[in-house]
Amino acid sequence: MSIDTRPEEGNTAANPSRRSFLKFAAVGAGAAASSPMLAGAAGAQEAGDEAARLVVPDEIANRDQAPLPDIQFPMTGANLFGRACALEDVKAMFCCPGNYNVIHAIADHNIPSYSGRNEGSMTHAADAFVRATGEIAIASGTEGPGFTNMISGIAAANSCRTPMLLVASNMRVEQDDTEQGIQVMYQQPLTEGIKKYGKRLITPHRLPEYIGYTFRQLKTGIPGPVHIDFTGEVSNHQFEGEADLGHYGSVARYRTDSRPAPAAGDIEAALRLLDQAERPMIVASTGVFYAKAWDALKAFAEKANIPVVESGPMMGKFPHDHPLSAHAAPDALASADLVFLVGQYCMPTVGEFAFGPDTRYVRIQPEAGDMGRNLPVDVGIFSCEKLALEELADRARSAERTSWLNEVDAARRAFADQNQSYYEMGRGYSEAVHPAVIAKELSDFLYNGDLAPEQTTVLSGGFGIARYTRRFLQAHRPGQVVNGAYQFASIGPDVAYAVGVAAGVQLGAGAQAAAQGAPIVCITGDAGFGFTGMEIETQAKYRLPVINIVYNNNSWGTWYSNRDLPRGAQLHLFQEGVRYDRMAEGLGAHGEYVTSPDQFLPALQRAYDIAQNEGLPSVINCQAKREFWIRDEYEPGFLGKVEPGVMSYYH
Amino acid sequence: MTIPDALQTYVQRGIFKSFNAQPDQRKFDFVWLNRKRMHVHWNAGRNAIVFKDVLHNIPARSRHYREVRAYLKGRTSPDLPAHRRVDPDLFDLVCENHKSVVSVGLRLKSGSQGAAVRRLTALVHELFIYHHDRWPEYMYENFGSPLE
Ligand SMILES: Cc1ncc(C[n+]2csc(CCOP(=O)(O)OP(=O)(O)O)c2C)c(N)n1
Ligand SMILES: [Mg+2]
Repeated sequence: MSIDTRPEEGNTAANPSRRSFLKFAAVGAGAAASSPMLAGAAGAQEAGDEAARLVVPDEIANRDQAPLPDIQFPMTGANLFGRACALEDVKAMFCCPGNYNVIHAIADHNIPSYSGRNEGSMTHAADAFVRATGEIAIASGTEGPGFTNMISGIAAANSCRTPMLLVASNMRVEQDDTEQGIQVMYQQPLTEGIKKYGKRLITPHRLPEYIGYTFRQLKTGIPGPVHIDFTGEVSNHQFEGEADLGHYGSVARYRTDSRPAPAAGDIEAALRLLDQAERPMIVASTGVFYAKAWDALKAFAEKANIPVVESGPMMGKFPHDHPLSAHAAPDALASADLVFLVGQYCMPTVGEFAFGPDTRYVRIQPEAGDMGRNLPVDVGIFSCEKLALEELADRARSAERTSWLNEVDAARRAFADQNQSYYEMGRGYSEAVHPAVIAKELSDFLYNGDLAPEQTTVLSGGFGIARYTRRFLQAHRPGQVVNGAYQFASIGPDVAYAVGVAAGVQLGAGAQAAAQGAPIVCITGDAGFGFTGMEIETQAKYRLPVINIVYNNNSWGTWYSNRDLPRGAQLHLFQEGVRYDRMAEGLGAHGEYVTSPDQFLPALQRAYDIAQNEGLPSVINCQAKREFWIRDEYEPGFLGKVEPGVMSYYH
Repeated sequence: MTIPDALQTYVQRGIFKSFNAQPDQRKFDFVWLNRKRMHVHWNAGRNAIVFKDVLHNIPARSRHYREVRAYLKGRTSPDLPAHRRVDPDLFDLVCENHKSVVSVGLRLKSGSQGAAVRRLTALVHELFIYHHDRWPEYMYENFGSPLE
């Protein structure tokens, strides 16, 4: 795979891929004005100028060149923690000012550090960074309100099983229960039920021990967020030397990378079921991503000719253009007679997945305590997903399954035909931009045009719009699509999620290495934009080239199901024609306002060029209408979903 | 396999929960899709097994009901693979609307009781999947499905 790369600050696009190079060269050669795709280039230029008026301070622009302080013993608890994060290869931190000594210690240990406009947004950014890259990131906030702002973010990350580290400062233990000064509170009870592990650090000399707890929890078993709150006594404690750390000074001595391997009998039992099955299917979920099990998955699927469908908070564990992909073949799901649920941590209940009532299940995951929850299990394999898939690939018999694969193929074609018909209906509505137009034309732009199909990472958010775009998005490599909402189903984090995804791509961290420097796409709704839209400024100041597509239907998507309520309906409405694009321009981004279907693609092209050539984010404000969700007036109306696969939202 | 035995297999596998059978083994109820209690009637005289009153609030003259019937009829199409099809040689598909309450069942022709239970259970499951896909607002209002 060849993808263009951008140097850290991304003002020029170096090494464009061959496919994207063609377009890049045309723009670079001053061909913009003569290109029909760039008919609005003058407008874009104007907007670019507007953005250029905002000054990015040198401290931000050149942050990677700033000298690193030489931090040696004796050092504070905060610095010891920063040092540990570097040793544990934490790849990024997202914060707002607060928890000062800890965030500065993290930045001083050369961990890429970003600050934004709201601690909640920064928690979402950290979550999405992890989901896109598979690497650990930190979210940080100040005591009191900074921390309480982070709660939605940690809850969403918990549903996603994201190994994110949430740190927040707390006041001194000696102030407990006094209300002396400000912001005295207990944090841990507020994250009860929405974290994998949490601890208030109160005994200064035991900090090294709790660094061990933190990273053991982040890096083993079924992942999830860890919440550590630093009291002043701990972060300011002086550690004199290595001797103060005991065995906690060495990563290899306070935790292990050993993984559970599958028991031979369990593999045999699963393979016996496979031998009896006529229509097996694999669900590749969260655990496949974090165990980096995609090669083993492919080997097993190909050897035994088993179709693969994805679920989970990120996509691309199995390439959607693979002949065995059942990701966009929803009608085949109910035919599967045996399903391998691999790393399906957020478990659906009976009937939520489209597999039929007679389907048998093999579950593979690195913790047994959860096996059999919600769905009955026929064979449970307690194992690291990668090791189990390798074993299955090794020992499975090859099989033809011609008629089953033909059935999956027919389902894929039927789904594509249905999507095409939705597009044709949407294209017929000329008074505003229908979501099917956005979904289809974005998809063609990303996967069937000049760009390498594996290039662009997408944060797939929004509410009503998501029900269209998800049907058309593709992932050709791990982490290429990050499923914004997922099971906690928050409206609003999308623009903040995009900060995290774009930072991961800008750094080329983990699974995003091959996409380093490429523009990314974020999809959101107008209600969603309202929650985190200020993070456009964060995208702009760090030159994160995000194309934010805002589906603006002048309303919360809940209007259509409440529109007949005489007093209630207005609660679901905004002013009509809100100019999110102008707001973006004021924040240093490029803005486009698209009011008819034919304007969408040229606007997307302009935004993409600006992202690629200048490293600037954009907002494409797509003017839709709220009535598009009413099926009797505007077929196909508000769409539902079938899980797992492209339409997966929750699990 | 008899109708009660076939239903029991789903209870044992954890698909149907909180299962009750009337002493005459003609009426059964259990919690299944969307955690709703469902009622199955076995009419030995008519040789029919029916998910009684499985969908509410669908007027007989509505577009919704027309589409439900068309969907169900589609499940008998010879184009479907055998494992997905209601084979008209084995079963007659029954769909009744009484005061906007819909029941769905199979009348056995040459098909066995065990096969009838399996086919009908799969069909009702698919009917729900179809509703999640095309009638999300209905599922939200009538079955408490989340709209997100
Ligand atoms: C934080 C949060 N608040 C409220 C809700 C309930 N909710 C679900 S969807 C929705 C409307 C979303 O509107 P928008 O994003 O504009 O979607 P669209 O109009 O495109 O359908 C609301 C309020 C939620 N899921 N999350
Ligand atoms: Mg909206």
